[in-house]
Amino acid sequence: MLSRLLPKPSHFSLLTRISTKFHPCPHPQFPSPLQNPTFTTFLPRFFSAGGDGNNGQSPPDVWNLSKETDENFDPLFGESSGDVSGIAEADSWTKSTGGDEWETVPGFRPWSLGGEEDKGDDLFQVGDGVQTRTSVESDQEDEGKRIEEAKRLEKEEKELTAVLKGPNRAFGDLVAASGITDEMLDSLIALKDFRGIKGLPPLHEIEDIRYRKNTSKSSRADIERQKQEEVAKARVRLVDDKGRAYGTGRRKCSIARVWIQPGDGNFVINDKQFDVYFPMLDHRAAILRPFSETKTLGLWDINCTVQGGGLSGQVGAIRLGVSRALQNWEPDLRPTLKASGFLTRDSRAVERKKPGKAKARKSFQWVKR
Amino acid sequence: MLRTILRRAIATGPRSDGPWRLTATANYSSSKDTKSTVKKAKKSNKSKGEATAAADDDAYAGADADLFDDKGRARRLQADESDPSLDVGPNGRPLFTSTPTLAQLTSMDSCSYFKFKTEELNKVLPEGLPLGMVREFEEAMQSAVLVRQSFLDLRDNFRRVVDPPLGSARSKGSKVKKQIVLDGPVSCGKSTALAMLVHWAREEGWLVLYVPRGKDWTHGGFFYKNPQTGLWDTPVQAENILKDFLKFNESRLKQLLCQISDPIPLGEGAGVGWMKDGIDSMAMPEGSTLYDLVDTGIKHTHAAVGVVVRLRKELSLVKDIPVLIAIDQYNNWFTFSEYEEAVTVRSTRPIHAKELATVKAFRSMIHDDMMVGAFSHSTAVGKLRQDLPDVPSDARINFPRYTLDEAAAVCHYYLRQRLIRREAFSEENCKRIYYLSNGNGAEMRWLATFMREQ
Repeated sequence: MLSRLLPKPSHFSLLTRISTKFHPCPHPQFPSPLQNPTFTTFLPRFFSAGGDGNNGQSPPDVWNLSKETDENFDPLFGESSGDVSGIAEADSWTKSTGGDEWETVPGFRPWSLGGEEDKGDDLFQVGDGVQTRTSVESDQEDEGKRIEEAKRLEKEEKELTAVLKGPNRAFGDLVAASGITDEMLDSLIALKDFRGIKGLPPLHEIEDIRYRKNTSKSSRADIERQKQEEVAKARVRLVDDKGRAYGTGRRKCSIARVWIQPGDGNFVINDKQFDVYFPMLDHRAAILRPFSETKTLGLWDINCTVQGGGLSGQVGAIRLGVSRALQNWEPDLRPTLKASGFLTRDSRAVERKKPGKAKARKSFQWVKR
Repeated sequence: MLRTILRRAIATGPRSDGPWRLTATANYSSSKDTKSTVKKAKKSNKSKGEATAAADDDAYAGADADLFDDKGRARRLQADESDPSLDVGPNGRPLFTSTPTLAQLTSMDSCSYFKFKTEELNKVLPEGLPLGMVREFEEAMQSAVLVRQSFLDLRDNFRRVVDPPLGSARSKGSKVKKQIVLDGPVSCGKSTALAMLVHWAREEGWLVLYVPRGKDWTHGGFFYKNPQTGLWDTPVQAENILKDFLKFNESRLKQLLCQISDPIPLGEGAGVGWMKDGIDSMAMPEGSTLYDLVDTGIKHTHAAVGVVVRLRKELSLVKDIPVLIAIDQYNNWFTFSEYEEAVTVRSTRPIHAKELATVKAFRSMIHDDMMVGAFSHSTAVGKLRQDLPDVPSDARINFPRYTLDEAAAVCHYYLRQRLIRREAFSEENCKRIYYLSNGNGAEMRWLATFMREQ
């Protein structure tokens, strides 16, 4: 009798397979949620002698599971009534749900699902069925019964898996809640079968193509042309949904956001007229330079906000922003703007002060002695 | 000051690398010229004091001497007078209007210039012209102002006050305003428009009290506290006011009778103290005209302020002819004057303009008379409240800046007046001037002198 309890290699593999099939939790020990709350401690229990009721219950449960996948355990069911009684005990045990006295996994919540009860009942009708077989019956009857049980088990397994996948608390809940459906899982390329797809050449062909591509030296001209095409394709007009083109400009701690749209020639900076904001003529001339270079002087309504930095920095930032916005509006203006150098973000910034010097470069006053 | 710099630059001669292609010294300019680089380069030119080849000296001296040599320019303008083909404005429209008077101007004439004869102008506006106008006439060497649509609207508004159009009054869009405050950005033409309005009103025969410098009422002269009224009297300034009033309106005033016969309260005279014997009021004889009233104020310095206050009341009672009160630099009357009151031995309290008797009498706009006030950025008043005291809420209008068409007309006018070189002139440059200055009149004038061909 103890030999039954001894672990066989096949048991373990089956168990692991079963456990993966039943969506093991992220919990490191794999508790099978439905049937055996103490499945986590199953393996160690498996070794102990069938002394306490706990241990006695688990093997039949395990064998119930394994029954579905492997018919090898049929002879186990057909064995002595001690087995049956064990099953009966198992039945009584599993009927008492709640499981307060069970050593459970920390964090285990006894879950009570109506369907589950039924399923549990259904499942353990197997046990009932087994229980009713008090006498040893003929092999044929056994065969028939076994086939029926097998079928029933399969059916119940399906229902159970459906139940499992539905209100799956541990992992399946997350899966369901995240909206990943079965179709999506099916569509995962990694699990697909790539044998019958049309147009997909066989692997060796793909490998050949890849190899050739990697090793062939494309001429410089080709690479250049490809790059230029890419660049040219990127020159697309970008206009937001209000019909304005936008550009950002930065210079020396000033950040400007500039929106332009076709219009009269109004120029508003931070809600002020631009000659109120920049009283100095030089600044205004600098800001209007991109327009005068591209000969689009009075055609735009410009609205911009600028913050940070001082006046000159803000002027530079606005000019860059204006150039970028112009280029977004009309990509053909880019060569002109580029030639005049308005599209370059001036990267000059305040140099840091160094130790041993009064300022970044100025040294302290020289003392003779 | 800039002109002296330019003259000196011309004297040292232009650089040898070509006409006016002065290298850039400013950060933001490219190798092409801009107005700012020209200005900076000229300054650096002067400081370096270069003496370059005099080969192209004469040629450029000739062409640009116009700008700097006033006499030569005047001479050339004199010659230009005989050539009417130069008077062409933007789009080929005539630069000068042919309508003889301001009253006959229509919106067809907007964006063209109206010529004044200097003597006539001085006759109609003897109190003095606003500073902006004076500068413009000086620079252009001609007394001509641009006719703007905004001025025509102003004039039509007052026309409608006096002769309300029959029946179609309701259909007119804007409400007729009797009191207007002209507010707006710097150099947008407020004072000029006010002066033109006064000119038109005087031609129409109205009685106009024109104050070209409202600052004069709050600055200068003596100031004394009047214990009876609790206000501050400024006898010297009051006298000046009366004299100005009399300059144009003398004959008209002789025909109007005084309607208030209360005696005029006397105050402290300028530098002479109170009247002897405690006399504190002076009676006006029956049947005296307004001219007599004003004359009394001028002759008796004790009575000046009292006359000014009385005059205000009388003006609202004049029914025969329309009366217009036109005040420039109106914003000066809403801030502190230059006078101070001694609070303790060591500290003083500045006196607000509304505590002055003269200003208090004339400042309020809550009445039924026609009054126009123009704000001025030339005086250091700063920003005033949105809702001014004693000013109706809809009176304050934002005088618009120059538009693109008006700017084009301005550029053509300066071309005609030889402020811009003919070769350098182009529509593109006009546009650039306009957008750079954003419709600022004085700045456009200054920029026009720097116009270059590109």
